[in-house]
Amino acid sequence: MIAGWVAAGLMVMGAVCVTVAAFGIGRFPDSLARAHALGLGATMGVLFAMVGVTVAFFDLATGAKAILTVLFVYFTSPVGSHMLGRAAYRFGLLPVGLRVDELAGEDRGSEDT
Amino acid sequence: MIGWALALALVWTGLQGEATLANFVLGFGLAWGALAVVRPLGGRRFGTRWRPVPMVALAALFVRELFVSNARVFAACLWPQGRDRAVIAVPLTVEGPAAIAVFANLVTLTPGTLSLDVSEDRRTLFVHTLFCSEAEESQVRSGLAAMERRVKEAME
Repeated sequence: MIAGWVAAGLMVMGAVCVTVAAFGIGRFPDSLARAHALGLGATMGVLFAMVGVTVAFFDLATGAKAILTVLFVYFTSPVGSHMLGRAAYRFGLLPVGLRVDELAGEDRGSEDT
Repeated sequence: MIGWALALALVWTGLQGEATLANFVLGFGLAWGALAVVRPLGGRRFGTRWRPVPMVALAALFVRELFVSNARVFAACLWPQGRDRAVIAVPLTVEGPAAIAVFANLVTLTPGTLSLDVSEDRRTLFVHTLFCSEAEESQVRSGLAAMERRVKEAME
């Protein structure tokens, strides 16, 4: 009974994180800032949801799957964010409101990979 | 490669929920295919040295950063403000491509910081930060340097 409420609470927290991240993606002014909001959903949203699922089912098989799910998302999501951010920057979608930009004068060399 | 394929096949079998031989063989085939696609990117072996105790320290630091920065990004998503964003250059002391990749991914995984690019000579990582006012700038830099040091301790 209590476990059910805890599980529900955790899953709602995960859903709230993803929802707030979606708000952030809409409200931030440029693609680089939006990538940060994306990270919120991918890290906290998935983490809370998976912990919630583990508490709800509370067996080894579900726990193992939940851990693997979190690991897979945590391995892959930053690669996507990094490539999106890098492509945006190189394409010239310059971030809004940058106070310092130490990459600006940098010779980025050949545009390989 | 066969070791990795076997490990991935085990994971696959576990995820299927049925420990049958057919599942394992299917998983092994898929793992082999995936590794064949990925392998040219890795070049040499996948592994570097992994030191267990510094790994735990790195994981602890990362989890702490994850929660702290997520709380800030959470608030920033609801009330976007400020012009405190910056792209800062973080000097890299780690040398191996694997360690650089791990550090860059940890930086990106922590919301609030996003690794943009690595310099041609692999000695600088350029990081976009959401919260980098003048007052916070040195703190942001030392935070990133601390995580970089932990990665170096764990992997090199």
